[in-house]
Parts: sequence; C-alpha cells; structure tokens
Amino acid sequence: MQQDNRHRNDLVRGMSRRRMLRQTACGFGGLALAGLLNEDQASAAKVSGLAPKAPHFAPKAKRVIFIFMQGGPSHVDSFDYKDELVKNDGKNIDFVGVRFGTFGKKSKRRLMKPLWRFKKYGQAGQTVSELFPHIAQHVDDICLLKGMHTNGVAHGPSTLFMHTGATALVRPSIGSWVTYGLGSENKNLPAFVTISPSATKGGPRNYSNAFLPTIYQGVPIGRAGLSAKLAKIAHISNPKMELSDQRRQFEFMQKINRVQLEAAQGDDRLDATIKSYELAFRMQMNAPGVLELSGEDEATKEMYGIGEKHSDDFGRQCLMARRLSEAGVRYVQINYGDESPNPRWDQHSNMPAHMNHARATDKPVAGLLTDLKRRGLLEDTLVWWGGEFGRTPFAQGKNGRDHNPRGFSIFLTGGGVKSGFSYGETDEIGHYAVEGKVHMHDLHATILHLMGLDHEKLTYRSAGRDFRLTDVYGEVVKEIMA
Amino acid sequence: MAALTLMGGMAVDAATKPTAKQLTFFEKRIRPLLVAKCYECHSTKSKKVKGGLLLDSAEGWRAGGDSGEAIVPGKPEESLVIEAVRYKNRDMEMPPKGKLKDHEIVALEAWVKMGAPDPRMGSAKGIKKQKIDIEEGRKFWSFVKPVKGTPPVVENDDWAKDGISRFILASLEEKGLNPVGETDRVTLIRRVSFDLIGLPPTPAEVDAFVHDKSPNAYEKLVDRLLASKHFGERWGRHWLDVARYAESTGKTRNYPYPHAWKYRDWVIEAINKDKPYDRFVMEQVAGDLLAGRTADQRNSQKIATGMFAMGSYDLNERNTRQFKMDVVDEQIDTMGRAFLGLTLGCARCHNHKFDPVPTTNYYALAGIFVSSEAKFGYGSRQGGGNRMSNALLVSLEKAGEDNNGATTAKNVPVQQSLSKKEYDRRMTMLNAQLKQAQRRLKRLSNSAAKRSKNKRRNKNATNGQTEQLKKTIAGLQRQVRSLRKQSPQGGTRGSGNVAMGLAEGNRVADVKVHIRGEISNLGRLVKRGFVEVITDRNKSTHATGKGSGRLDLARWLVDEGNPLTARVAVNRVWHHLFGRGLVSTVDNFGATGSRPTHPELLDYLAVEFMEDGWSMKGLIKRITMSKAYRMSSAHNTKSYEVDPDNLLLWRMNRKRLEVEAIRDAMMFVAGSLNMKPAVASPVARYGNGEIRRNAQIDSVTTGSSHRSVYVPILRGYEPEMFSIFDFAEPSEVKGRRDITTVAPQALFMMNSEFAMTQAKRAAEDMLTRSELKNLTRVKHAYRNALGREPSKAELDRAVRYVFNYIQSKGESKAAVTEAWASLYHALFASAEFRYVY
Repeated sequence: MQQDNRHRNDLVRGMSRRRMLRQTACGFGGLALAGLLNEDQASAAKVSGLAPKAPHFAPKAKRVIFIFMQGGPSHVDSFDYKDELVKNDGKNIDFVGVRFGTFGKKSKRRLMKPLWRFKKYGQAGQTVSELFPHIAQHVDDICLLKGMHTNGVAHGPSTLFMHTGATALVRPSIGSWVTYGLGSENKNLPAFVTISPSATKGGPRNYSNAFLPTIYQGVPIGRAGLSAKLAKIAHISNPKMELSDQRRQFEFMQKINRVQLEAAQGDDRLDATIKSYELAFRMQMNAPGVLELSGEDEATKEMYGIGEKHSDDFGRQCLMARRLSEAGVRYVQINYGDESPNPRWDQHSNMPAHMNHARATDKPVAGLLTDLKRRGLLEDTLVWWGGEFGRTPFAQGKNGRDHNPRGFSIFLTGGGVKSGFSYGETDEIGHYAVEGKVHMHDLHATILHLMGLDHEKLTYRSAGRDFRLTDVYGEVVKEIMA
Repeated sequence: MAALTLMGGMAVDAATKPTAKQLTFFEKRIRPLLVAKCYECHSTKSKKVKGGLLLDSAEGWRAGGDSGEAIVPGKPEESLVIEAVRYKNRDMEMPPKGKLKDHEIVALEAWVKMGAPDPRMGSAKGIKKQKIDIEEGRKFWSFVKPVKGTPPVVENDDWAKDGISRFILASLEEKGLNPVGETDRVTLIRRVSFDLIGLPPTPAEVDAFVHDKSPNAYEKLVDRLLASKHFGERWGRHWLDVARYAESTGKTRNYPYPHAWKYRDWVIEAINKDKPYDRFVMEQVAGDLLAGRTADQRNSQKIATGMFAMGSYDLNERNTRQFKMDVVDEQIDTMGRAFLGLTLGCARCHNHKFDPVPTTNYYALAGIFVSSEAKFGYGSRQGGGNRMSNALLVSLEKAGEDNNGATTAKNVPVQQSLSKKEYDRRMTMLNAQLKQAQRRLKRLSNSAAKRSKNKRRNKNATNGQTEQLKKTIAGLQRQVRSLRKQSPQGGTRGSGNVAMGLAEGNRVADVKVHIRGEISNLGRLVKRGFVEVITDRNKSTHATGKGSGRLDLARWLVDEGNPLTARVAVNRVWHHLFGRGLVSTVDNFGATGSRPTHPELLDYLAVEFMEDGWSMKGLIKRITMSKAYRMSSAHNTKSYEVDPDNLLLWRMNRKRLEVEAIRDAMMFVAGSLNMKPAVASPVARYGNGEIRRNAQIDSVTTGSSHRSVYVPILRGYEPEMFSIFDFAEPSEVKGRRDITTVAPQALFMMNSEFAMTQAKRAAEDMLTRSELKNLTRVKHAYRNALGREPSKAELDRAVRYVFNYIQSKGESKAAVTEAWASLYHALFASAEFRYVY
C-alpha cells in the first residue's frame, strides 16, 4: 500500500517537474535578456549570501509552508474534543487568571461545551469538529499536536513569540533563521516570503531578520486587508515604463556598471551590485508569473475554493504558496489575518463567528494539502497550521472564549512527521496541556530539526554573544518524527 | 557564604549516614525516577546540562544550579526541585514535557523530607561556577588606559608629515607595502562632501576646488564643510544610530513619541556647535542634574537625557517591577554600548561570559537607573488604554529672554492647547452648527425624495443646495477635528512645554542581584556604582554623591582615567571616514569584539582628542587633513595580494552611501530637496493612537521633502526605502550599519515611484536650461549625478541611448523628457552613484 503510494508520488513528481521546467522556460524565453540566461546564475545567489548551504544533518524537509491562523482558533471547538467539557457544560468552576488584574487569582467561570459537533475521521479515528470538514479528510496524513503551550497572553507578545521565540525583544523570525541556515533553493525568487501579512501584533517584526543580515528578511507579498488578487512583491514591475524601454535602460545601466567594475578591478561589492540587478530583473520576469494563477486548471482552483465567496481570497493565497514552494522558495508563510485589534479568530464575544473563518480557510487548506500530495511535494515540504494560542474552555460573556496560551492544538504534516498521529493532551476540559507538552520553543526546535538544523548550533553572533531562535530553551520532539 | 557551607555541612552529614531503609527507598523509588525523568538534561552525560544543575550525584545537587540551592534536605517546601515538579510555578515546571504522576511527586517529597539520603558518589565536575578575576581582567587591551606615543619614524618621510599618516605608513612599511597615490581633486571633493555633510558637491563647487591654486585650497574646503549647518545633520544622524533614536515605542503596542524630535534637534545642534564630547556624554546621562545659567540651557540639558527615555518599551508588560527592570536593562545596555563599547546587558542574568563584568557590577548600575525615572510619556500596564500624558514627561521651563533663536530648547508648539473654558465654548458652538446643518440636509433629502415621486422639477436647484450643505458639514467637521487637537486635557499631540528625558526617582535605593535576571529571584544587595574593571584603582567604584548617583555616573564615564570613552568615540569617527573602524566592531570593545588594526594610532587619537578638549570637529579635521584620508581608492596588485581586505590601509576604502545620503543626493540633484531643517516632526501631529499602517502613516514616513535626518522614524514603520537600504534598526545601538546588496534594492531603484520622480524632475530641470545641447546635456547630467565628466566612450553611448530613445517614441516633447529622465534614472541606479571612491 505504502509502496504503491510512493511509486505514484514519484510519477506525479516527475511529471510536475517537467511541467515546471517547461513553464519556467517559457517564462524566460519570451522575456528575459539573452545575456542573462547564459550567465552562471548560481553566482548571483552566492554573492547575495543565499547560496544553498549544507544542513547540520540529513533533513526530512526542504521547505516550509506555515499557515498562520491569526487570533487563536479554539482547539476545544476544532481538534481537541473533550467529553467532560460537554458533560459539564454550564457548570461554574474556579479558574486561575492569567491576565493582568486577574493574574493568579481564582474566579468562577462557566464551562462552555463546543459549539460544533465532532465526528471521527480516517483510520486513526481522529475526532474533528464540523468546523473543518475538508481538513478532516486529511487526518490520516497529519500529525496533531494537542499539548501545545506558549508564552504571552495577549496577541502581540504571543504572535511575536510564535514567529521569533521572544515576546518583547527584537529577534529574527523563524523564516529568517531557516534561510540563514540553509540558503536559497532557487535563483529567481526570494528565499522567504510571507503572503498578506498583518501590520499589527508585531507587524513586520514577524518576518524581520532583526540582527541577521538583511538578505534573510522575509519578503512580503501583499498585505492583510488587501485582496489576494492584488498581492505582489513591492516594486516588482514598473508602473510607467514599457518593458522594451526598461530592457534598453537596464542594458545601458549595466554597461555603466561594468565600466566601473573594470576600473575598480574586481571590487566584490560593485560586482554584487551588478549581480543584484540581474537577480532583480529575473525576479521581475519570473515572480509575477509564479504568482499568476490563471494558468492553473479549473479543477485545481475549485479544489482550493477559488471562485467561492467565502474561500476565494484565502484559496488564492494557498495556491500561491504551492506555486512558490514548487518554484523553490524555502519558507512560505500564508496569513489568515487582518489589521484590527481583534484579529480574525479572536472571538471573545461571539464564538459562532468561528464558522465564518472556518469557511474561509478549511477548503483552501485542504486543497493545498491535496495538491502538495498529488505533486509529490508533501514528502519534503513541512506544513504547519496553527495560531498563536488557543481559547479557553470556559465562556467569556455570553458565548465567547478568551485566549488560552496554556493549552492548544496545531498540526504539522509532510516532511518527516508521523502521519495519522496525535501527540499530547490537555486536561479533561481542554485548559492546560498536561501530557506530551510541546512548548512553542520545542516546536521551533523540532521544525529546525526536520529541516536538518540543530537549534542549539544554529547561532548568530550579535552584540557580543551568540543568539539562537530558541534562546536557551527548546527540546526536539522526537516522538512525532516519522 | 557561611550559610552555604553550613547547609552543605548538614547535607553531607545527612548523606553520610543513610539507613538501610532509606537507601532501599532511594534505590526503588528515587533513582529510577531521576534516571527516567531528569537525567536527560541534568546529568554529566547530558548533551547539554540545563540550568547548571546536576541530579546524577549527591555532589551535583548539593552544588545547586543557576537558581541556587536545588534541594534543601529535610525541607521540601524550600526545595526548588519540589517546587518545580509540583507544577505550581509556571516559570519553572519540571519535567517540561509533562507533570510527574502524583505518587512520584509524593515519593520525591518524602525523600527530601527524610534528608535526601543519596549514596551516589559521582563528581559534579563539568559544571564550572564562573568566577571573575578583576585584576586579571584589567590587563585586556581596551581596559588599559590609552597612552599617547610619538608618531613612528618612517622611511618615506615626505609622504607622511602628519602623525596619523605616519602610524599608517609605519605599519605598511613593516609589510613592505606602499600607499597608493593621492586621489584627484574631483574625487576628493565628492568624498569629503559626502563624508562631512552627506551631500554631493555641485558642479560649480567642483570647478572652484579644481581650479583653486592656493596651497590651502583643501583646508578651506574642509573648513567650509565643517562650518556648514548640514554637518550636524550628517554627523547627528550617525549619533542617532547609536542612540537608537525613534519616534515610537515599537514592540507589541506601538505608540508615538511626539516629543522625540526635540532630542534629534539637540543632537544636531550640539554637533554643529561642536559641544565637547565629554559634555555631550554628561548631558545625555545627567543633563537634568547639571547646573545651567539660563532656562534655555537647563531645558536643553533636560532634553539631552531623552537618549535614555526613548527606547523600545513593551507597554504590554503588566508587571510594573518587570517593566521597570526591562527599561533599566535597556538603559544599561544602551549606555554600555554607546559610550563604552561594552555589552553590559550580558551581565543581567549571569556574570558576563566573556568580559570581566560580574553581575554585581550590572546591579550597581541598575541601582542608579532604578533610582531614576525614564519619562517617555506612557506608563506600563495600560493595555489598550494607553494615553500620552504630559505628567509622564519632563517639564521644561519657559524659554528665557536670552533665547538666541535656536529651536531646541524652546517650546515649539505644534498646536497650542486652549483653556478648558475656551475649548468648551468653541466645541459647543461648533457642535450646534454641525447638528443644525445635518438636520437641514436630512430635511432636504426627505423632501427631495417625496417630490421625486411626483415631479422632477427643481431637481438641479435641490442638488445645488445639497452640495452646498455637504460642503458646510465637511468644513465644520474639519473644524471640530482641528479643535480637538487643542484639547486642554490632551497635551496629547506633541504640544506642551515638555520633553522626553530622565528625572530623579521618588525613591533612591540600591538593588539586589536578580538571579538569572528574574525579578522574583533576588540575591544580595549591591551598592550603586560602576563597572569595576575600568575604574581607576585609586578611585571609588561607588556612587557617592547625592540622589540616584547618575551625576557620579556621568562624571565617571568621562573621567580621564576611563580607558574606553575616548577610544570608542574616536573609533566611531574613524569608522565613518574610512569605512571601517580601527576596531571594526565599533560598539564592542570587549573580548568578543575585534582587536584594533592600529592600536598605537587609536591611543594617539584618543589622547589627542581629550587634550584638544574633546572637540569632534577638531578630530574630524585632523583625520580628513591627513595624507591617509586623501589616498586614492585605486587598486594595487602587489598590496592586494598581501592585504586583500585593506586592513593596513594601503588605499582608501570605497564606501557605500547610507540610505540618507542616497535619498538626499537624488533629491538634491533633482532640485527637490528642501534644505531647511524641518520644524518638529509630523509624528507630533499624528495623535496619540496606536500606530497602524494607513495612509496617514505612509504620508508621515514618506511625504517629507526635508533631508533624511528629519524623516520620522516610527519603529516597525521605517520608510520603505530606509528598510531596503540597510537603515539602522532603531531599537538597538547600531554604530555600524549592515551593508548589503540585495535584489529589492535593485527593484526599488528600477521601479519605484520615488526613483522615477526624482529622475523626471532632474531631467525637467535640465531641459529648462536652454544653453545646453545634447552633448552638453549628457555632460551636465554626469556632472550633476556623479560629480564627474563622462569619458568619450560614455558620452557617445549616452548620446546614442538618448537619441534612440527619443526616436523610438516619435520625437515628441514628452518623449524628449522621458528619454532624459531615463538617462538620469540609469545614473541614479548605477553602482557608481551609490559609492564614494
């Protein structure tokens, strides 16, 4: 059975690679400068510091797609079913507060059962609520982590913590660490991109290189609040000049540069400037094509929920992510977020609104998983789905739920993790992680490990000391490795 | 110490006589548990021992871990190990992956209660408790007081007349190398102009200098640039990198600092007036405690302390003690790196791992800052309800009669706030007018709707009335908005005679060492004071004066016995003029920093700097006048083979321009740069709401036509061009910016609105000059943008390029502008434009 799958995957992968080459070749043939194509493209990457680097040990995954569910989706309403919570619905129980003013104090809170019914799916019989009927079809492929816990109580600190391993200090994003550790897999695109990122809750810090060199900065494509149809890399095209004029100008300018380079006799930095223009021009030629979805067939778009009212926007983001990953972008983040003080999944007073967000994301995420799998990409792509924290089993107001950093669920799938597997538990009502606890630092350590990087060795010296993504913490969760 | 030995003694005592029953208990219940749940991180065989604690031998746990004693025999309630396994302290839950079973916890408690009998004999070596030897530490090169040596004797005596160049030449000659020749005047004036004022020379200035035959032509040029008001804008910005200047809190809740610009202006003015560097340092640390003759002077000194009140603070931090200690840490770290080149922040949680700075020194400094108050306008723990309050800022005095017109110390009101009575009167009136107009509009549209059912008459007249009313309403709403800015409770928008800065705290006290930096884990009390290893042996390491001790700290920083302050300062200047510091890690003179390439020269410069009354302009003049600075940046194969990185300075380094200079130069060439200093900052008008990306933010950060130093810097929203071109991260001391060359820079230059606009303006300006024809236009463009004439080949190519471009576009007037704009665009985007040779 498994043998068959692998065989089929190999076939599919072979096909898609050929198709990809053809697409790329077409993209180039028509537009790019003849001279550019003949140059050693790797040298551009080398000069820019993004040349592929050897990992510390054999990696299980070569690239990451992180699907960020901003605001904190409720685990007790989605993946973490609790019988006791249903049975004790409406009961008032003492809870210890985490927020300022209630910190450490006990107060009576009303338990609120899940608002959605759960069903068992797949061979493992994993329970998933009807919020995510499409993702549920993939439970045999995914590895659920139900004992997650993290730092911070508010969105800002926890979101930063999830991205950078620090709630308040300025630290590089995990995507920057990964590209710093491994370099780029492609020559025509950035190594780390984030699609439709939010400007709030840490904003650009969430994809910032901090003290790492600027080349490891995440490149934003579009922004939260802007339709994914309009999402593009900044300045990727010229709004005023025709391409033919631009090509002529480009050649003229590179001549000026080459004269300088000759005069300066091999100054590396002048050479790097010339190379950076070549890469930029290749990006200008290629990136819009990679982000252009019109070439995808209708069935594929339908699979991602593109064209449907609720899921169109996020479907586009997910499909872009696949195309970027396929084109060799090392770390792709998709953001289901916005710019408001209460991010999308943040239902303090109206849990039923979770349904809107599930409708917007369920089908696109499931479509992405299906697509990655059939193209053979899932084997060496690590997909991470999750929010900055979960929500409380007790009610806030009439039918809301508060933040819960003490216990929540995320899932991983693809490169190197067990499939159809569930790891970790929260307590009987879904409040605290108690078994198989995985702290956000541990998740970071594990993701780096799957990429072939030792989180204790991936360091960068700044201000006189060596920094790591996991600070002085982090344990690799070996239990979930395939 | 005595207590520790006593405890140790007791433990040994208890451990030497375990009963057989106790041993059985240990072997059956405790050892397997420790092996299974703790050894992974707490044994000598662990890949990495966590928390400095070993649990695989009795000696191990008796030695304790980083948090102190792990097990107190007989006292489970005082034992950290027990606290950890109980999972009651959320910062310390062990084992981290999941709580032990209840019966396991009970067993551990019982074992500790019986005195923790432990037969395991292993040793705890491998865990070294760090001890710092201060006297040994004093021997490190940068902690030894600089001594001014005589410039060395050199063979090529003619080349090196000045002391600086002799030091450079001596180390070159030692390696058998020769310096390259002097650079040409065209290159030299471009270099020194960018270096000193951050702008290119105009073609006329180039001509004047090239044709000036007087022997002191170059000195006159240097003097002119040093006296320019643009000098402070250039070198002030260098300091703002170090001071991590920004106009918002950054972090998770990003609130504006509407008064930060007063500090920016103080820096620019101080540098333009050549305020002696020792005074410059003292005012920033303790300006509020220094005497001042006039109100202006006192105000100016208070504003200077803004340096220590404009960090990036986490307003979300709900614990006030934690917040205070985080602010203090940021202050110590900033002070250490900015003035001393020391990474003192490292000693917050443990003794500095590389430099001889014990935690006690850190908390000696912390006491000084804890006893002071950083007034930046906000309090902590205010969550979403943060409000700028003038009470949380430093009050300034009314500017005196003696004011000489400088904006710095004056209150430059962006909006004058009104008295409550006047404000209420105007607001009531406006609101009444607004309501009335809105009612009329409603009536009008209702009646229009009714009429339209019957007949369509008078439609136009109604429309006209509606439009008029809508205009009136919009106008009134505008007035309400602008009136709100003058609200008396506010002071919210950068108005009011206040500034960011330091003040003495309500309570002056020493603080205790915070073990592992944790506020809940306190060690011994430390007297307020300084860093011991760089304090003269004969002088006190304690703050002895009145109050917080900040004034003592300021004096200590610029004490002639302090080995670091002058060295760090002159090295920063060298870094900007040569593209690399004599110590390349300009913010780190400690063990992990790099060693000086020319230690004697560094000392020579440092001592001379102090002897010259800490004059920055004097120092910069000495360096720019030196033969070494005037070298060409030409290549030399032989020297390159010996010293490819040019560490010995056999030639001048080519320097990449900073984003400010790139932006300013493009706008300068295009004629669109406003050369006047900006008044205040648009941030002062932004309001007091949390900063989010919107049109207003975009206009605040990109709309300025002033020089780049005046462009508002909001943390997290640095102007796009700044982020792309390696602007200094404004949350940390950054004396040396990254220099990267990446594709987004190229994309910006190729495709951004900014680059295209500047190119077009430059072309339009050129085309208005009727005296210019095609050939001379190309020359003009080259001279304007690159400061030099094009070569014959370049000239031909450019003319051909422009000619073909015009022809392909149908030779219209628009095509001509477009073609020349395209040439300027290519010149701006070229590598040469971005580099100084």
